[in-house]
Amino acid sequence: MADGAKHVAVVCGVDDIKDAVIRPGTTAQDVINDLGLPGEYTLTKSDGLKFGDSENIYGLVNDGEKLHSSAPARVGE
Amino acid sequence: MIGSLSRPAIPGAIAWMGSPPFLEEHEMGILTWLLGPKPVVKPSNQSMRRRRRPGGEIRRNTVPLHEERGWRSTERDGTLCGYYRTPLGAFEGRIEKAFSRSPKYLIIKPPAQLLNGIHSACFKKRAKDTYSIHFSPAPVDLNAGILEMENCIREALNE
Repeated sequence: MADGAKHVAVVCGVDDIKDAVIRPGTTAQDVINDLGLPGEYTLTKSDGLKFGDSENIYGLVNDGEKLHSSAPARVGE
Repeated sequence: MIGSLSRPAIPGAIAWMGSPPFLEEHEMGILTWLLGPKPVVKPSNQSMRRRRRPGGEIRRNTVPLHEERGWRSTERDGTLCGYYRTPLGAFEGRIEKAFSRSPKYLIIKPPAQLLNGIHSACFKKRAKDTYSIHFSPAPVDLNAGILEMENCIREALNE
């Protein structure tokens, strides 16, 4: 896009995919909040590794990339 | 008596599926009478050939791990800032003197499981929410340290 924004698709559930716009300075938590997801949700890149909540993800995602959001999980609980 | 029977009409297509190995010669004769002569499959000149395409060189990814993980240098003294990433969580970190012979690894707001786990003695508080990490033996390079820290976090969160 002309303003440098990147469009990504965020998979929020089995049949729930939402579009998000990432601009310079956008953090993972910003995306979670903008999509109306619970605040404790986390954002995961396509390689399975998570983003930090306050991490600026603009430089780490590609235009058109697919991300995943999920509730915090702990193995064994 | 078989000889008095007329050749039955076989509905549908009955194909020879290869000679049953257990039939005697006279039984094969009966089968031939019933089904007709076994068709001979001639090899086709247009048989399936695997089309081979010229292979291409596969080059390995030369992007360093710390760049892939998103670690960035924000200060002139060679400090890297980024996140230790696992499938269960990402935790902010800093690596001071990252490109020196002895980089200092720090983690900010580490998970409680890490501070209370088997490696608890390896984390020393330096400032509020900031802990220095002691390795033994020391990582062979910058990326090995990041990987080892990520493994440590993953183990702690999986306990």
